[in-house]
Amino acid sequence: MKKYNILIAGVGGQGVVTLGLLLKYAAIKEGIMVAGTETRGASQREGSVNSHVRFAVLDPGEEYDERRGIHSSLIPSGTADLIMGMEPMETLRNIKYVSSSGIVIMNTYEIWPIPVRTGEATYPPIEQYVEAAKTFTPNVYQVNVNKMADEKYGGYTLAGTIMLGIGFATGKIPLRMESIEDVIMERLSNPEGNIDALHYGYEEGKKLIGSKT
Amino acid sequence: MVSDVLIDEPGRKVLLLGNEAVARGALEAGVGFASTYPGTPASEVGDTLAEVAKELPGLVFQYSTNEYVALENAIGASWSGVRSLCAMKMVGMNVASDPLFTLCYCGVGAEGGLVIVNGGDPSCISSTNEQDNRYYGLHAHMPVVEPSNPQECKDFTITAFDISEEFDVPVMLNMTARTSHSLGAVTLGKLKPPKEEGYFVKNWAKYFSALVIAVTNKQKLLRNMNRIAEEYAYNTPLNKILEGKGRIGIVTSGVSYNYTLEALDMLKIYDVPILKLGLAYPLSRKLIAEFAGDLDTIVVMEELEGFLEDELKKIAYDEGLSVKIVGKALFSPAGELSVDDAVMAYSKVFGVESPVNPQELAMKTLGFTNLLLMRTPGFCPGCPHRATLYAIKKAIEGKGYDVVWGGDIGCYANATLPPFNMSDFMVCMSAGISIASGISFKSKKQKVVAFIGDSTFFHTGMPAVLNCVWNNADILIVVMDNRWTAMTGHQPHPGTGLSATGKAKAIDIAEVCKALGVDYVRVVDPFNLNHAISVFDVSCKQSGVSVFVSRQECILQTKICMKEIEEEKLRKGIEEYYEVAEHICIFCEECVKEFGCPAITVDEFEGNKVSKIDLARCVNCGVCKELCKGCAITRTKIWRNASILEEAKA
Repeated sequence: MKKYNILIAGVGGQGVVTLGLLLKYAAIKEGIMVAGTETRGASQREGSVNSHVRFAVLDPGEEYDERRGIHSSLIPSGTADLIMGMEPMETLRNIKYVSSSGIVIMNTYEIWPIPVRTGEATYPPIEQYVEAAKTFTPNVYQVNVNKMADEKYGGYTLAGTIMLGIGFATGKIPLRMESIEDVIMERLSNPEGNIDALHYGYEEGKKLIGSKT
Repeated sequence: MVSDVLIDEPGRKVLLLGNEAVARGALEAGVGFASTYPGTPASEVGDTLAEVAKELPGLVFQYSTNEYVALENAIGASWSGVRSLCAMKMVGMNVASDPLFTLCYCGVGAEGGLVIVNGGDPSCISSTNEQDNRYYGLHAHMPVVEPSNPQECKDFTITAFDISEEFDVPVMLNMTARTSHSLGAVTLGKLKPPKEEGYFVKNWAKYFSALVIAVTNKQKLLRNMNRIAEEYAYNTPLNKILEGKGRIGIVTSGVSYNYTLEALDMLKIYDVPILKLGLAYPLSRKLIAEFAGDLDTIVVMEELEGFLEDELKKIAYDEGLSVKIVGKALFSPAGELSVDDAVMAYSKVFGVESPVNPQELAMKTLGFTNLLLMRTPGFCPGCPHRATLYAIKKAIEGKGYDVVWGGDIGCYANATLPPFNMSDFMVCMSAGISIASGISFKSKKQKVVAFIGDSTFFHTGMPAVLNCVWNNADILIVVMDNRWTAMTGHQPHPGTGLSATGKAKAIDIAEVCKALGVDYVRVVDPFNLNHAISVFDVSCKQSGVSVFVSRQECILQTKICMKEIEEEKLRKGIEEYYEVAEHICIFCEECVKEFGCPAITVDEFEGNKVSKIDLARCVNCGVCKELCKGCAITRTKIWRNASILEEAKA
């Protein structure tokens, strides 16, 4: 049995919870074992949020063994195959989850905490976040999905879906894109836009991962 | 999602939240009555059943005013022979404990199984303590069932109803935030239609609990609990053993079972005997003795207190077992546990090195704390609480009051954070008023102000206000009335004018306060800022009990209600926004620092710092315009296609 651990991190309002749910609903469609949890409650408002997504896929001919399955809704530290970080600071806040060979996609679009907005603190430069993340895994990629969404669709709404497409390009998500598309059709508003953004992200993601910076 | 909970296709797999799975289990058990007072992490149990009740006529659901009222209503339905469920967060169980103990003596109605869902909160993510409610099982003599995942949440709920009826006791389904909020595949069973009509069969010797009847009832209860321990707990599939070998075994339950299996998988240990207790109380002596068999050591992994550990030790002593039982020496009773804790403990116990070192990873992250600024929760842009707190702050500024601020449970607990720092303590529902009242009697030089939310007011606040009046406390009570039980997900309360399923009589808090004997009651709209400031100024000068109701709907609700109107406006080309006139702004920082709205940031204009309104976040509450000292904030309204007249008509 192979376990897949995917973590999505960001700030309340960035679609972190929705992305996590999309992956989980898609897994159910494919009959893949799934577990996970999302941040709920007060922290959604202006706070740090994350979504833990866990899949388990049986090897051909393998029988299910409870002792080897996925049970915890939280990803154990040091075992995430993929972190999709919607914000630099939130990516680093969750960095202990990534495995030493895992992939981190870091959205460089900053969302300032209150002290930065009021001028009492400054947001450290992005390079420091990338450097810090690289002490956990060498595979850290930077993108600005907010900028991509704004340029292509005139707003940030689809930034998360673009990130999901990029996530797919890493090969760390054991699902078919079509299953995600089905879930988008069933459960999201603006399904056409979301599906377009998913593919756009996937194509851009292939270039990004191929060109390894 | 609620729609998934209602799918009537036995065998189909759907994705459900732990709490939704409990609701589904109740529906498969034919639940006919459900009640709750909303509280994280248990809220979605009630919210799901509330939605279902709109489509399932036989199911009666109510949001109750508080937890003991909720439980008492569920008792009544159970005694009418209808399966009933009552959900609450763990501190709510303290409120409900009054009827609970006697309920256990009386038992449930025939065919009227009663399941109490408890939402525990290890790590206090949304609570003021992390009490372990399994002890209510021990203390009140009530079986405690503990699921580990969404599938078990559903299945165990059905079993809990069966146990309740078979042994004539209420059953507690013990959840923690991680069980409640974990998502997983659930294979659906068959929905069972609720019993539409019940009947209260009189049974004085069962239900009139006093004197010798109560003692007789207790004896019956103890016999039933003993039967569960001796027979049921030994055979029930709620408990299961994963066979293994070696001299060390593991006993665990709930989420700790999940963490145990995953940690052992990481350590590549697959042959340790494990006893999973789905029935966490009472335990079967026989089962424990058999499991202990030839073991030298039993490791107990459980969150919070060493409840199972102590129960096992009692059994080991009585049965003369020589096995060593270790639990809280390995796992902290404070804070929630994780796979990481399990990896570290089992690595030590079994002498196997872990492929990852969670402690090292956590330490490494600590090295980057300078990059990880806190994102403290705060009031949303347009939150009426912020305007109320700002008005209060301005009203007392420079007046030399030495104020004690009584805090309470709700979004307004954020008053304790900068820029307000206006909650000196927070204990439990409506304690803000009564602790403040106590302070007022013995600390007369201080001005005592207590906050309470609207839902909290109806929950337990009314007796607190009444007590202030009766005993003549010197206190100013501020009711933060945002019209909803907002923090837990916008459930209605008696002031909202809605019940769970439809319209209801709306109760006016100001009128209630007057009826409770408060002579000085004032109601303001905090968005009418200057009015609110002057009314609070006068309110502060009163002696005795005074009530200041600050009433404005939660902005999140307003946004939902206004969505259609806003969209219509956009279609007509009507735009409204607030902005800072950069050449006028003197950057006094009143809006940024004193008011602290997250939609106001700092910008530069001609080399000077100025305030800037982030139009993507601003919700047009207009309070900053009122408070701007330099009149630099302006409101702009544009009619592109529509005429002013047309808008006035709409």
